[in-house]
Amino acid sequence: MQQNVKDVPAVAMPDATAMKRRRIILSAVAITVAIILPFVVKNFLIFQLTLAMVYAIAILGLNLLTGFNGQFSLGHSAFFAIGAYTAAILMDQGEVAYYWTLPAAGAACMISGFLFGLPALRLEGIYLALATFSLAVAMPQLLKSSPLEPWTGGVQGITILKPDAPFGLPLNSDQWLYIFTLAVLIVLFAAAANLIDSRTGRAIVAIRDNSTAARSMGINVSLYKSLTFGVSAFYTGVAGALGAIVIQFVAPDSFTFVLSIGLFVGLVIGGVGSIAGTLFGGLFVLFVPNIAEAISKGLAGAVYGVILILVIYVMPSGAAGLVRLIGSKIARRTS
Amino acid sequence: MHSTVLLPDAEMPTAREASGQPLLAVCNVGVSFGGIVALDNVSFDLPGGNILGLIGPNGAGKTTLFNCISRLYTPNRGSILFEGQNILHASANQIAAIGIARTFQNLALFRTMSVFDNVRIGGHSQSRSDFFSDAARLPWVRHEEKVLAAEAWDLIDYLDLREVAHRCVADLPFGTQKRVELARALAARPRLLLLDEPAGGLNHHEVDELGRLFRRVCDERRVTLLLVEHHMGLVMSISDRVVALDFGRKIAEGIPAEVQRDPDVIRAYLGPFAQ
Ligand SMILES: Nc1ncnc2c1ncn2[C@@H]1O[C@H](COP(=O)(O)OP(=O)(O)OP(=O)(O)O)[C@@H](O)[C@H]1O
Ligand SMILES: [Mg+2]
Repeated sequence: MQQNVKDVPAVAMPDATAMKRRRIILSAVAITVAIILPFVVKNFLIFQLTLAMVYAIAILGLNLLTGFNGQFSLGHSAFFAIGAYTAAILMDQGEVAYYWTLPAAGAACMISGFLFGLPALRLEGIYLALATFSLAVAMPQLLKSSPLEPWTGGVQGITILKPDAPFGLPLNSDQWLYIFTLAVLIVLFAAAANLIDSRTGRAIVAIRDNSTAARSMGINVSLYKSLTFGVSAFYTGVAGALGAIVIQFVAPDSFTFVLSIGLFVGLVIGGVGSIAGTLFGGLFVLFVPNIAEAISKGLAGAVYGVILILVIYVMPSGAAGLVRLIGSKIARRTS
Repeated sequence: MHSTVLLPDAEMPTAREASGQPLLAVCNVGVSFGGIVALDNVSFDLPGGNILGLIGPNGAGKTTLFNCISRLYTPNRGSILFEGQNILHASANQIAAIGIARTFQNLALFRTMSVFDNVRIGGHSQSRSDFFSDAARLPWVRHEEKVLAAEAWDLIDYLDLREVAHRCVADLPFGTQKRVELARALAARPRLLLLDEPAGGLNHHEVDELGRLFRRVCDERRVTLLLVEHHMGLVMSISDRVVALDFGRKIAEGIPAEVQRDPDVIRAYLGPFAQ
């Protein structure tokens, strides 16, 4: 039985401890650069980078659900909206401090995500995509509807105030929001990395790979799928709240299904099933439409489409896949 | 023909046998899918510490019976007792914790994951972590992870998989994947292990080795085996008893030599004109 093993070319997975060490070093470098950045670039770019981080968190939420657990969602704009409105309403009408709105938005979305995940258990693949899509389509109209208008402000939306840096820190509010968002992002990414590299995370991926076998291993598939839906919505909801705080404004038409598609594009571009890749996804979602507009105002949509196709052609398994490929090429050359 | 394989120790009754209660009791189980009767009033007992071979031609209902025991299917009639408890009240994801593990006829590994991860998932039912504790990596889940990893490495060594432990299972040869499935099933620390055609697709040498391995698993790890197999040499050489099914009905039961000689069994396998 053993000799067969050696016939297979060694496409070995990298050694676990070496991989972990490399990941820690890379994270430390990335965090250092990210902390220096707001002190060397212009305010508008700081604002844009903050938004890119917001999108990265939302895409990470989608990735936990779609990439790791195999449940499709085109409805994450709805959770982003619930998070954004929870934050905006609490700040506008409840006079709640901006940082307390994040756990509130996360909790609201986790509960709605879990509840939506229960009926979604009966749906697979494209049918689930369709059901979640309907959620995305319904959300803007729901937010405009008259019964909710006293809270949501209807079509007008809600304007909120930009928070200043606390403790008299010598930062302008763009710099402060950048640092604040970065801190939230680091915590959420670390938690996601922990989760995926744990018994729970393995169960989440096992369900994607083979749900029948997962069940026979003692994994409560329905519960894990609903909880993953909840956690995914939590991430996207926190991102929504951060987005509201950063943009200082929420309105129904910022949360149409186009946002869902945007998050989905970010997921695929960053790398399905990659945590670090979602950072690239966030940058892509924020900057590429602007770049397309800079190239041609009239044909921005077409230019965006062409860029998208080119990127997918160059990186068929996302940014994460490209990095992995380059990494293994370097490893092969040095060994 | 497989003289190398150890013959069972018939004189050594286990504690459970002495107490009179079988480990598994299948009682009058019936399953039908629409018009097709997949199992028809099937009953047999499996004493602890034994290897029971389950044979029968294609479509006889062997996998259906496995699916009932692992609760992926619910039988229309009958009951299934494990250590005296009716397991039809349990759901499929509780079966591993009850003490029953299985392998699948057509490999059902977690394809994108490494051997090590597959085996660790096998031990899922043996630990208690939750979403929050895992995301925060609390000290108690770290401890649990260590225990889980240690047991996985133990099984990986037991089944000679260390060299490929960090490889993705989908890249491994078929025979190796089968051993990964066995390691994954053993990680649940089962008292009953259901093996659905473990020798399918293996060569002669591999089948011999598998037979010895099953005998070792049964004797050293005190796991009772229910073995579905078309490879007669393997079934007949390692089973203590054999049950034969045909068209969902039990047509024979007894020690291997008896069942092998049974005219109904011969007819089922070779067709009505065989004699
Ligand atoms: N989910 C199902 N739906 C409908 N029919 C089924 C289902 N599962 C099994 N059957 C039918 O039940 C009968 C028994 O099938 P089963 O898979 O249990 O046979 P088997 O003894 O395992 O055969 P093999 O040796 O080919 O694996 C077959 O006629 C099969 O078509
Ligand atoms: Mg079968």
